[in-house]
Amino acid sequence: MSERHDHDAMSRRRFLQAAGLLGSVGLAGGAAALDAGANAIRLPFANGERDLTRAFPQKGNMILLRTRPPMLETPFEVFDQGVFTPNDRFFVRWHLAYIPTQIDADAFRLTVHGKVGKPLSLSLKQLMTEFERFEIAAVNQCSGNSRGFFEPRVAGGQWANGAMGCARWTGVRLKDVLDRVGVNTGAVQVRFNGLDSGTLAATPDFLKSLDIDHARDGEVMLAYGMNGEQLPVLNGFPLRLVVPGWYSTYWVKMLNDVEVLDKADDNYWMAKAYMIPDTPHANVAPGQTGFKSVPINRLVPRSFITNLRDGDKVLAGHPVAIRGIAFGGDAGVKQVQFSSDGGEHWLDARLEEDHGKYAFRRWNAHFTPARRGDAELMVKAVNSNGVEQPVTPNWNGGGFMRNVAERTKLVVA
Amino acid sequence: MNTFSTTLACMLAALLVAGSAHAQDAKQKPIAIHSVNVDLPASTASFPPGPGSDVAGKCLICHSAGMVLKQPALTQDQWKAEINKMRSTYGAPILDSEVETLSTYFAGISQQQQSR
Repeated sequence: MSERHDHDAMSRRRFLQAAGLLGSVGLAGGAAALDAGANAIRLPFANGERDLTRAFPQKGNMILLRTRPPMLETPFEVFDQGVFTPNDRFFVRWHLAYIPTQIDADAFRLTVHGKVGKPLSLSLKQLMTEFERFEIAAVNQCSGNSRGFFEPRVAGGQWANGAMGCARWTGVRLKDVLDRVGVNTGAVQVRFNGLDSGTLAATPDFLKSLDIDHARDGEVMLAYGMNGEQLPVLNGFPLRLVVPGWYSTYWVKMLNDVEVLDKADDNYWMAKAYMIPDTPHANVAPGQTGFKSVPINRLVPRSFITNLRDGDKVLAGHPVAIRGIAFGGDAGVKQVQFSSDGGEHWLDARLEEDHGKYAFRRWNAHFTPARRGDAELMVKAVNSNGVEQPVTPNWNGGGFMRNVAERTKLVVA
Repeated sequence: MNTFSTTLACMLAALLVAGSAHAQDAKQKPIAIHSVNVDLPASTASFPPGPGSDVAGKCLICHSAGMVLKQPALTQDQWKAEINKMRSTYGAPILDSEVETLSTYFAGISQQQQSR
């Protein structure tokens, strides 16, 4: 089957969905039977052809970016189905190719050591029974989510918007574990390591660090549960760090080593990789040099329309339901606004149930297109710190932190 | 306290405990943890034939071909920068003498990929 055919099938399906919203039957009359077995899609940028795959353990249908080490994107329609992203559809991103595939839950140990009073080795059972249980709903978003939309394009994982997800995480506060071992005076950072490693001895192990005060803020946690179940292997079974409001590069998977440091971590993954320009929106001009760089850190607000896509057809004079998701980044969602005229006028969307300040928040709105032709919908979120999505995209060489107000172009028939 | 009122007090206490435990269960269902043993699939992506495709085989030590094939249209200089990052940072065993051939090959296949 040709890719073109698949693309057309998807467009037809979206057209049918849009037509369904209007209760229209006439418009959809010409659509052929849909092929449910589509095995590829085209992401909306050059070289965006992707296989869809069900070949990965504990995972349903995912967009294949790279098989080894796995990079799997969540198909965007999943975000229309609810606030919480199902574990089997949650995006996957590994850096290093050696990933344990057999893990004995009883034998697993988390080692906590470094500048501490009493180093400890903790079993999962100890973590689950000796510490207070803690739960938080939080968005996990890749630093490079949406990198494929950067213009000019940049090297790296070419994601569309699906390298993100929201889950309810269950586990224990890192603070409680650090209090148990007793952090020494003079501690500066806490470094996290997982069971994965490179295939070459020279490859730097994947290590990430947080400042000691951040690590002890009572929100950073060690999660053994994701949406009420154990973590899928590819999302970090049996334990991962959860850093609410921060990019997922810090959410170390298969976490088995926590080390308290008395100086700032200068390992490759903190000092060289995942660096952003220290400028508003991490924005620089292509080719610009001489700016200061800092490790990527807090999430910024984003919002998406989830029930309509570019090219969908709607009817003039008939109300169109719009719905989507938003998140505030390191703060809650205060407001979601949408525009049906390409950003000239904005109206407040209705916010739905609040699952906590770090979670996705669903929103909905209606608009009635006045006349035939094109209509450009836009959506933007404002978080409770007053930070608003920009209407022009940022750019940096790493392809990090895209959060421009999204645009969806509809055809009004 | 007589026997009856003692029994009643115990029953009430038991009910209260049961009630709160029930409320807690609903909110905090225990997470069942089971050991895992899974298989990860092998990649079906491969580098197209051409001068440099043999050197490109070294990239597969650390990652599948998809990482290269899905990149945007990078120039040969951008590919050289990527290749040298892989050599200096990750230890890719690519020789000095191979960088020219490999970057030419990648710039070529990356250009061909863009219409896809």
